[in-house]
Amino acid sequence: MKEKFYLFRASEDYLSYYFESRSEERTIPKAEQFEKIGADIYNLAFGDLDESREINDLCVSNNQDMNRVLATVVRTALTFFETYPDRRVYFTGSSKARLRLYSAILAREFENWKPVFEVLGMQNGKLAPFEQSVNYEAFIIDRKSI
Amino acid sequence: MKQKIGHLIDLSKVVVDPTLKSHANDPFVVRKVEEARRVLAPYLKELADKAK
Repeated sequence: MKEKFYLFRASEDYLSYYFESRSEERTIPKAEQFEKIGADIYNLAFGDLDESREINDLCVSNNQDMNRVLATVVRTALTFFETYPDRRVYFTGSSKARLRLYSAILAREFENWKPVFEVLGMQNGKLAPFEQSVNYEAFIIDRKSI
Repeated sequence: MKQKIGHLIDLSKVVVDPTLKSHANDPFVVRKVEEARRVLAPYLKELADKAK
């Protein structure tokens, strides 16, 4: 992704991330957490921080910076993969609209990530190599090996 | 270990904050991890079998 991204902070283990979505109207704290779900595979959870400073991905913040926020998430994912090159990342969306958005971004950036990553898409509970014309329920990203 | 393709990011330019809170125990994150384990159960079994 060529979009600008927000500066972010990482935890010492590079599993937690924090950044702020900024507009003239407001600043929205955002956080991400990579959490192990099985052998070498981590779930990526992402969302706004609510009043209790916990992640809530059901917020629709409408801060007019969606591309920049998603570019930041991509940047943190690259940081994770640089730190943990043999790990996979699983993620899904909290709504059908967000899943369509993630599918569309992966399709749009296909030529950029294809040399470096293998992406599996889940459809009807089954995983298969990512195809640009399909809307998926979830994704698994793996860094390619030589 | 296989060598990975490409250098993704310069980690020396990433700001590391030792005080940053982990959200691993946030209810939302816990729920998402449980969902992921359930959805991926066959795939996780496959990975575990390969690792044996």
